[in-house]
Amino acid sequence: MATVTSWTESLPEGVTQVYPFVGTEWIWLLIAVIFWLTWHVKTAAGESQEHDELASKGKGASDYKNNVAGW
Amino acid sequence: MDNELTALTTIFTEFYYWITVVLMFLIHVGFCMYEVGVSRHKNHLHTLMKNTMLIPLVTVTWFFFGWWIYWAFVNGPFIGTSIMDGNTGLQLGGGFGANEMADPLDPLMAINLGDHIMGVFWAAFLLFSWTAASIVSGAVIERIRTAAFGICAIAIGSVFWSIDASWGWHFDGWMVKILGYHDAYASGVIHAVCGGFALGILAVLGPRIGKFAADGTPRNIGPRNPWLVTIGLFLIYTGFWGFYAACNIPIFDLGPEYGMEGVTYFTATNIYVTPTTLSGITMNFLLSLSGGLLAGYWISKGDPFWTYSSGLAGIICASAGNDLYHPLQAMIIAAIGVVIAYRLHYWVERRFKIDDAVGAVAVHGYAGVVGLVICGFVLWGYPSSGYEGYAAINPIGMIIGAIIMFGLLGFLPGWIIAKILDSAGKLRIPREVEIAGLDFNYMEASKADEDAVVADEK
Repeated sequence: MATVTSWTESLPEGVTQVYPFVGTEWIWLLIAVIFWLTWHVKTAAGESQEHDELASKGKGASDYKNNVAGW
Repeated sequence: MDNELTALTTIFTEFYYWITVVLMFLIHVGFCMYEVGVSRHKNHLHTLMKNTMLIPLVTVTWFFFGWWIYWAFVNGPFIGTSIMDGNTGLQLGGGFGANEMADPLDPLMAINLGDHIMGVFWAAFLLFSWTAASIVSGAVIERIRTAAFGICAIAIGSVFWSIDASWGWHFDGWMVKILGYHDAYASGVIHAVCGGFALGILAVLGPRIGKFAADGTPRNIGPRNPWLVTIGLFLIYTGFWGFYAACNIPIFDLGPEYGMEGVTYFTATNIYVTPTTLSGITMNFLLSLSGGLLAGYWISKGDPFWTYSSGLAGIICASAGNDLYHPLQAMIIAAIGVVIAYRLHYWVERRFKIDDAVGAVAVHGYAGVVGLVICGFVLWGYPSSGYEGYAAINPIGMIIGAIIMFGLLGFLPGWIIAKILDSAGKLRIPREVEIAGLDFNYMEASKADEDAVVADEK
């Protein structure tokens, strides 16, 4: 929903907030916080899984040199 | 804005801070290049991503609560008394200087046609926050979990540095009022606190495999790519110009601000609203860089890694008083700080088996602490503020300030957070992964792709 529908009317009225859906900021904040916390949980779990898989391969300190791509 | 002079002043200030933000972005580019350059081939990509991802993590948390903390904690709480309203608790509400404008739900925390400053000021502080987290990032490379580092980055970037800035880098901060704490370009509030925080983590995290011989002798795990390190540090120098500018208020009329009746005095000021000039601090920046480089080259016998780092350490050491020092004082102070930081780095490494991969604790922590102590003596007796009732700058206040920055808000929280993560088994990567290299799977997949493409091309 547009906060501003006419600049010529809004500017003389002293409109300050111009983003859409003024008054719903707390909803966006809630979504953002949930997204942020979920990101931590999911990426931490993915990292642990990646480490477990790699650890199980039992690679040595120089084995990575066989995987250096030449392109 | 309804007159040309107000519009010009406001939009000049808005643009000034915007430029500083863009310049400071280069600090982060530099840190990324530097860290990757220092890391070994098998860890490059994870090292890069660890540092890169602190950008969004610190940014969103700085929006959620970091900025709020800066404005809310100026009285401690319950240590000092606000000059704005006599309050001793959290600075909640109450107009300019209070935390309400930093509330993520406040109308000023968005595009607002009635305000041109909040966003760029918020962003300038945010870039300091990135730097804070990035300083810690380098020290812990090649063995910390990215998830653990993310938590540490948020803690230092959006909580502890924000508290210390509120206490000692705010015109109403209790450390300025009671201790006479002075730290114009953040020797303590950014560098000492982050060096201390990094040391706290390192004490728990432990060294990389092979860093120390069985008899405890340290080995040098040298930079793999000196050119990336070189360009990275030059970019950090470049971004540091923006940092210095961002620490100033570019134009301010101190007459009415200080209650001097009938006096108009336009000047640039530091964060404490005491006068300085962008011109003068530019000289001091360059002379302290030079003092650091000269001392670093001398003491390290021309080692490029330490010479470049010493240029940075020199600026950091002189930064607390670089709003007032003579350029030659800045140069000598920088050189002294570099020598002490360099010596301390190797002493701590041998004595406590601390593996600081990039020398961050020395360059930022030790040099920052030394800079605060020296500032207390050299600027002894200068007013810490133009407002009434503030303690003058003095050695005792600055030494206490250095302990608060490095120890109380740096080392202690870093050590506690690392202990908690370590006890949950979430701090350090598994030994097998450290040996194989964090990028092993990436590299293996890339090699398989290459082999498949080459096979098709035959």
